[in-house]
Amino acid sequence: MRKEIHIIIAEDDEGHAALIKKNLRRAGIENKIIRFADGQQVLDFLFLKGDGPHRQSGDSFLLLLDIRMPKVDGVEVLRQLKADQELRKIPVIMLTTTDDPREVDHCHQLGCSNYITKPVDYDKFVTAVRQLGLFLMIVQVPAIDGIN
Amino acid sequence: MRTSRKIMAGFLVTLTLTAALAFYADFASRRSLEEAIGQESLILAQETMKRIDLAIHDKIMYVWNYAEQAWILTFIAKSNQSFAALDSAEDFMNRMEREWIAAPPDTPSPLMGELQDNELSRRLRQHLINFFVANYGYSSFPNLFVTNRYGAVIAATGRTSHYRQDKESWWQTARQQGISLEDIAYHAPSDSYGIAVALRLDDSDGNFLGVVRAIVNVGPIVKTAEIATGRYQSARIRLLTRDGKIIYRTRPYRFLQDFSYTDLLSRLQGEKGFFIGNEQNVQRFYSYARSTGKDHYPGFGWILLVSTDADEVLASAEVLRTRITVVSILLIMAGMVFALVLSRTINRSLAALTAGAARIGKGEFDFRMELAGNDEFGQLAGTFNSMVSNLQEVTASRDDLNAEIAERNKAEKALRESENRFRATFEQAAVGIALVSPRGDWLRVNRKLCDIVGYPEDKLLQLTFQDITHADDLDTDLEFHRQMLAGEISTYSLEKRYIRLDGAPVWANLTVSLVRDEDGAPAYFVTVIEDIEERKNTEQERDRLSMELARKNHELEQIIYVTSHDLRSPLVNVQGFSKELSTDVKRLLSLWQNRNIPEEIRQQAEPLLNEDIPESLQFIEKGVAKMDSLLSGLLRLSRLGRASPTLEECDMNLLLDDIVATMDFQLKQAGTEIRVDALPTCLGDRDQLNQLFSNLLDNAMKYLDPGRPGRIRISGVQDNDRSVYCVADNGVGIAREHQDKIFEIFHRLNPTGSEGEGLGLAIVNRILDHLDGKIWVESEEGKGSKFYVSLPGGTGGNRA
Repeated sequence: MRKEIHIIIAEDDEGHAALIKKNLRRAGIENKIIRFADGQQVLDFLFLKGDGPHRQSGDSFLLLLDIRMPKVDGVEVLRQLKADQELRKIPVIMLTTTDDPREVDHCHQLGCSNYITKPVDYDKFVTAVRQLGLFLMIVQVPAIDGIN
Repeated sequence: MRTSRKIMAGFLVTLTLTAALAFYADFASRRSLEEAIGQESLILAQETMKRIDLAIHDKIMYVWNYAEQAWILTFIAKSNQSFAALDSAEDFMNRMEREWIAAPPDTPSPLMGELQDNELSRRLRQHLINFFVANYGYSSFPNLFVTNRYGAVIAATGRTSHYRQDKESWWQTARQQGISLEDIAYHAPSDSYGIAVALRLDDSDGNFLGVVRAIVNVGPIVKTAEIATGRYQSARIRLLTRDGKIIYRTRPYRFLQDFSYTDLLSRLQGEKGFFIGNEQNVQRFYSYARSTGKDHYPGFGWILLVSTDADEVLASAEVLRTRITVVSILLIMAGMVFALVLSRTINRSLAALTAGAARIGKGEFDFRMELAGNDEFGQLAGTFNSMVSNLQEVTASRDDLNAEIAERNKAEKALRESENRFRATFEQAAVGIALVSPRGDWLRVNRKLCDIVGYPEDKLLQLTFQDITHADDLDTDLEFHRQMLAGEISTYSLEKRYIRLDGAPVWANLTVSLVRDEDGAPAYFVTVIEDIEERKNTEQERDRLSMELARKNHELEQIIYVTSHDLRSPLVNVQGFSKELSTDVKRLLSLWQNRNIPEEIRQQAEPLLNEDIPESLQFIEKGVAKMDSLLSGLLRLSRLGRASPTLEECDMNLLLDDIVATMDFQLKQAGTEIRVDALPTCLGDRDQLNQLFSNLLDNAMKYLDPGRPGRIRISGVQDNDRSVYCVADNGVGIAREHQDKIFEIFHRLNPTGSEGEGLGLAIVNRILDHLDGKIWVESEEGKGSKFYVSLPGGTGGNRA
């Protein structure tokens, strides 16, 4: 995977975020990882709003989005991104603790690229994140704002 | 009652009265006859008694007169002188008395023989006994004796019991009072019944000389009572002493026989009387008279009783009665025959008149009465005929008039009834009814309507329906109103609100129709108004409750969902980091091997790294796994609530084959034999049924008895419109006391011995709730369980 692709983790649970990071690193993914604790921070970052950090034009992003988050939940973030002409290009991988088929359906309808259940079984989790890593390796991630 | 019967009844009453009078006469005459006979008989008894008294008195006086003859007095005086000359008369008398008593009965003492043979004794015997016996055949005085003034016997016609008589009470009485009389009694020395008489004899100067004593024989005297039998054959006489001893009787008797035992004696009260009584079941007339005595003779209270057979006495009255009866009956019969004939005659005339009147009544005005005779009936017939002629003339015109009147009356009556019915219906209807003008004025309203809209009738009639309609409902109402007037619709119904006089809105269901006049112009609306306030309130309450319920349900599911979701997040951490920790420990150990660590520290630390920490981590992981499984279960459960089932006919054999296929590995591993019979189809959601039976089979597997090869069998039957399936195992079974609890959420029969979250049967229950199904269990501990599931049946058959 190209180094210039930034991985955004939107995850309110620090532990989950740390586990994901660790396992991604362990799987050999060296990309920059930015973590946000709620949906609003992600939206601010991507839509260049608020006082927090803003993205640099021309960067490429991949978003790991937890569904249950304070302020703005993952599904809403996904909906807003997919509604934006430019940001809709960002691949989004939904992370959730439930495998509720209807939620999965809903997210796919909104246009998420993938959907990962956070398994409690650690081994499965590792496998899932590895798969995510492999996925990230092969996916084509377009630059945002047309600057490559 | 018919005339003839009235006549007959009149006669009968008259005759009955006559007969009653006759019988009264008979009764009264019988009474007076009885009275007369009683009186006559009483007088006879009285007279007879008097005659007896007189006869006895005569006998007493006879003795007295006889005894007062001078020579007797002289005889006694001589004796007195000789006694006076004695030294002691007392001693002499006592001596003589002793000799007297000592003498044997058949041999008199010397003195006794001498006395009985002296002059006085001989004359007494001759004059008072022998003379009578010779002339009358009996003696009136069976025994006589005389004492001197000392009480010594100086002469006697027969034997006496004592010589001295001065101690006897009769002697004392005679001496003091001049006379002593004793009631009739038996006198042994003379062997006779009689009244004992003792008389004092004085000299011419009135000095006491002595006493003469005689027994008066009353037998011959009382025989004269026979005359009291009078003219009756059946008459009987009794003469009784005061205390009821028979002195004389017309029939055979014993002298002084006691008669006091009969109840007759108790009726003989007073001086005299008569009564009717019974003796030996024969009715008899009784009359009695008590002796009144005569001068010195007191009569002793003797009673003369005369009795006669009532039949004989009243024979003449009987004859009279028989005659009266016969004459009465003859009279009644004759009267009845006469009454019958008379009533027949009158009846015939009346019947003819009635029949004639009936024919006229039927309108046969040509009919004329034919009754001959000059009596009232004949006259009546004439009058009747002329009346019919007149009637004939007026009837013709009157008939037309009558017909018209009848017609009109009928119509009026029908109208009145209809009006009354309508008014009653209108006023008493359980719904509000109103007539409303095309403009909307209330023209007429009933009580119920006033109640519903809460206005008094007079106030309501000044308003229009628009005035009291709720603003929100007015437009709808007016639109219907307009359509009605325009003829677009003929009737409408509407649920709307009125505003009551007190300002409160009230829900009503309105049904309106329009009545048009003859020209087709709108005349008035007929509006029926029902109070649906309560229904509306109930509906609103029901809607509110079901919304509330839905909200609560949703809330509950949401809570379960969110909670499970959120609880899972920290689990991911615990699991993840404990894995990290165990990786870290392994790395630490490998680092540890390659360093020079002092042996002391190594010995202390290595067990921690090798055993304690991994063991702790293992427990943490187990806990996490357990909690994860519980949460997954809860999520599944909540998901069931949120999903609506897709009902379709399911081939249960296909479904079960699928399930068995997925469990194939487990089954083989456990060596469990499973058999699926031909199953009926049912109506349900395929996915949910899959879960349901998976859970049941899981349970069956989970609770197999490790001590014997497991057997599971699934069978099913069609029961009316239901399909009933049975999952039977030969596992450990469920004790009866646990059978109710197994469907509870999180309940696990054997928490340590088997895996699972205790949700399997709770989920099964939840699914069956959705599918209109039922589940129950039959189980025996140690033998196995049978879970029955009943579901709505499909139409398909079984697979062989």
